[in-house]
Order: sequence, then structure tokens, then C-alpha cells
Amino acid sequence: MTHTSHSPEETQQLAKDLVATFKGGEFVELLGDLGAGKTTFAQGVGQALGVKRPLRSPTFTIMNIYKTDHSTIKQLVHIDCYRLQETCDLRALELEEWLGKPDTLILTEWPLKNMAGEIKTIRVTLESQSETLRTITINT
Amino acid sequence: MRILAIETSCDETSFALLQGEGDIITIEKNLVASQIDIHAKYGGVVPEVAARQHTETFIPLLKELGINENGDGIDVIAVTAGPGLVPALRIGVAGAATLAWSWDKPLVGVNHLEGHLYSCFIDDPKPAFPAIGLLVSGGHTEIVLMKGHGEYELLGMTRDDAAGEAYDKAAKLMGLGYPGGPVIDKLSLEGAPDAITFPRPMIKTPDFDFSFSGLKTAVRTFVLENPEAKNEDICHAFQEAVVDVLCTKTLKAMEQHQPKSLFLSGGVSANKRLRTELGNRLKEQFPDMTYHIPAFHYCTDNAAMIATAGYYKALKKEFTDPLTLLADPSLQLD
Repeated sequence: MTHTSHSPEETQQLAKDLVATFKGGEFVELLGDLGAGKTTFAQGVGQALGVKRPLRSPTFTIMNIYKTDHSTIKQLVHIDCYRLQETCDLRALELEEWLGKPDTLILTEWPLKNMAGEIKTIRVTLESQSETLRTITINT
Repeated sequence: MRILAIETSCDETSFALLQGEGDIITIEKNLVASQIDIHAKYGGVVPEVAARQHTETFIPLLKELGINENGDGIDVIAVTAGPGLVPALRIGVAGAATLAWSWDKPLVGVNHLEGHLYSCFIDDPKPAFPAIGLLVSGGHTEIVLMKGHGEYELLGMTRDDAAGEAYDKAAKLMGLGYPGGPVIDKLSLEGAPDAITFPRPMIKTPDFDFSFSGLKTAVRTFVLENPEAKNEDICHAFQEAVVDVLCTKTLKAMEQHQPKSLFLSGGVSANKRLRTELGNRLKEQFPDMTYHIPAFHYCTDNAAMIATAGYYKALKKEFTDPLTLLADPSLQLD
């Protein structure tokens, strides 16, 4: 399903609409070039889950974990593998602590190969069409 | 008081030895894994983010410090407990707790961001309280009011990208190397002033928050639409925008809170343009306030700053039982 977004707010609204279909345990990959709106989309997810502060880019921190205010999703794990090498040992992230947990939603920017293992992955691909226009494709 | 400090919050493994007497602080040793040829793979390459890497460098660095196996001569152990990447943090915390337990020495858990603030307390003169600190790094951009040792109020922060991250991504968009900060700082000197102007996000908003993701998008768009533009000019314009926003917002905070000192810290505090411009604007607008910047080797992640923050906590006996200290990836300043 492909959508068009004309602003960061529209991108965030698309994120909120997607979260409305989630129950917990989902693994979402956010794909797109620098500046495509991945973190903006993630911020929409944070808002939908009632996270108090705006989600900040995890590029340097690698993994940010937020407590939510949602009926079934209690943790939001926001990962960014931009600075990790392909050869990075995934066990170093201790992702298994969160993968598949029914009360956790995982969002990953710049995902490494096969991060989710057997867990079903939802792919959100963002593409810049101009300075303000984005196309966002969601594959569930 | 002699402190052994350990820092493993993310990429870097660092150990330090500090001698403190009152307000006199001497860093005897500050070992940073990426800067030492302990492993060939650390030669100038981005340190790999992996707890396994910290495990491999832990013992070699500890040996380099020259402490004996009984911890003789060490009075307190300080370790970064958070924020950071949990698997990495755990190595430092587990190692420090083990040493504290087996050597029977008190243990202090330190906040990594607090460590950065304390990088300005290593050398003299020390900031006077209340002080405002601008903390700028790859992962953080915050304005903090420091009312006293260990007393913080977060005045503002970035709502998306940190300034250091903006530098790295702008450099990537221009096809320049990593880390972006030093490359852009250097190339900016050759850029024509006013050739290009980039937006200053949130520079006029009444809060003390920041936003750099829009600036990143502006650079991206410019680079795509102006393939013939010189990187020197783009670097110059980008840096001026970042520095302008950082300085303007910080000085606004100074105006509102009227502190006695301003200090700059974090990896981006190594940026020459920021160090100079912030100092100049401070002198102009607040001639009576003191300005403190860390020595270059204390700007990026290091254990000397953790030792310093740990020292002041140890003076107040803020110790933690080694059996209960936990790594906390979301540890806050206030």
C-alpha cells in the first residue's frame, strides 16, 4: 500500500494509522535514504503509543527504549544500525531480549540482514520525491 | 583520593586514574581503546559497537594502568552506569562491580552525560555555580542548568538529530569521510562566507530545544540540485547554521537564568569554530561570565571525565552496593 506525504505531520499520521493495527510483538523495518523521514515516521509511532518525549534519532545511541502509555504495547524499542557494520554480531545488541515479546514493538532503521529471524517483519519504505514530498509504502 | 574509572557506554572502552585533593584534580592516566594500538583493528576505524569488543579490551587496558591484582592504591571505583547501549554498559558495570567487590572498595555509578559535563571540571579554573552547560555530541544535544555538584535541570534538548550526528550525515551527503565533524570543521575554513545560506531550525522559538533533521534535509536537497557546488562552501554554510543555532539558544538560556559560568562539553566541543564563536559571543553579551571548555582529549568519550564526576560523588559518599548496581540505558540527568 503506497501513500503520499506532503509534510512531517502527514508522515507521522500514517505512522499512527499503522500503529492502530498493531497489538504488540511486531517488528517494523524503516527503509529509506538519509532524510527520507524514517525518524519522523518513528516519532509518529511514539506519539501513537503515548511516549512522553519526542523520539530522538538513535543513530549514535544505537538502541533507545521507551516506556509507553498503551493498552497492550508496553515498550517501544527504536534501533538504528546506520553505524553498525554488516559483520556486526547481532548478539551484541541482545535483541533476543525484545524480539517477539508480545508487549513490545520494535522499530529498526537501516536494518541489518535477517535481524528479526523468524518474527514477521513489516516493511515501511520511505522515498523522497522532493524537499517536502515523500512516498511511503507499507508491506505487511 | 585515588579513583579508577571505567567507561563502556557505547563504542569506546576507556580507563582512567584520577588523584583528587579538594578541588585539585590530577588525571594520572586516561586510556582510550580506539587511540591505543592494543588491537590492530582499532587503527582509526570506527570502533565496532559490540560488548564482545569491550570484553577484549577490558583486561589489556586494566593492565596498562599498572594497578596490581589487589587494587592497592585505589580508593574508589567509578563506572558509567548509563545512558548507553545495555550490552556495552554491562561489561563496564560487571567489571567495575567485580573489582569493587573483590578489592573491597566503594563503587560509584556515574551518568555518562554527567561525565561529559564534568570534563570541564578537570582543569582549572572550574566553573562556578550556577553554571549552564551546552552538551553537544553525536548522540546528545542539550542545555543543562547545573546548580551545584550533581544538581541538574534540563533546559532544552534536540527533538530529533543531535548536532554531532548532523555533522556526520552532512559529511556523508557530501561524500566526505567519517567522522564528519573534523572534516567539515577543516573544509569550512576554505569555504566562501555567504556563498550559501542554510536554515537555522528553531532559532527563534521561545524554548531551548533544537532540531537538526531539517538542516540535514536542506543539505541533501542542495547537494542533489547543485552537483557543481564546492564542498568547502557547503561545509562552511552548514557549520555556520549549526554553530549559529547552538550559540543563539545557549545565550538565550544564559539571559534567562543568569548563571556565573558557561561551559561546553561533548564530542562536538572539540569543534574549533564552535569553541571560538561561543566564547566570542559570551564575551560580547556577558563579559563577566567565565567560559570553560574541555581539553581536546576530554571532549569525546573517555574515562577521565567519568573519574571526575565520580570523584565529586565520592566526596558526598554516593556509593552503590556492587551487587546491586545495574546498567540503565535510559539513565536521566534530572
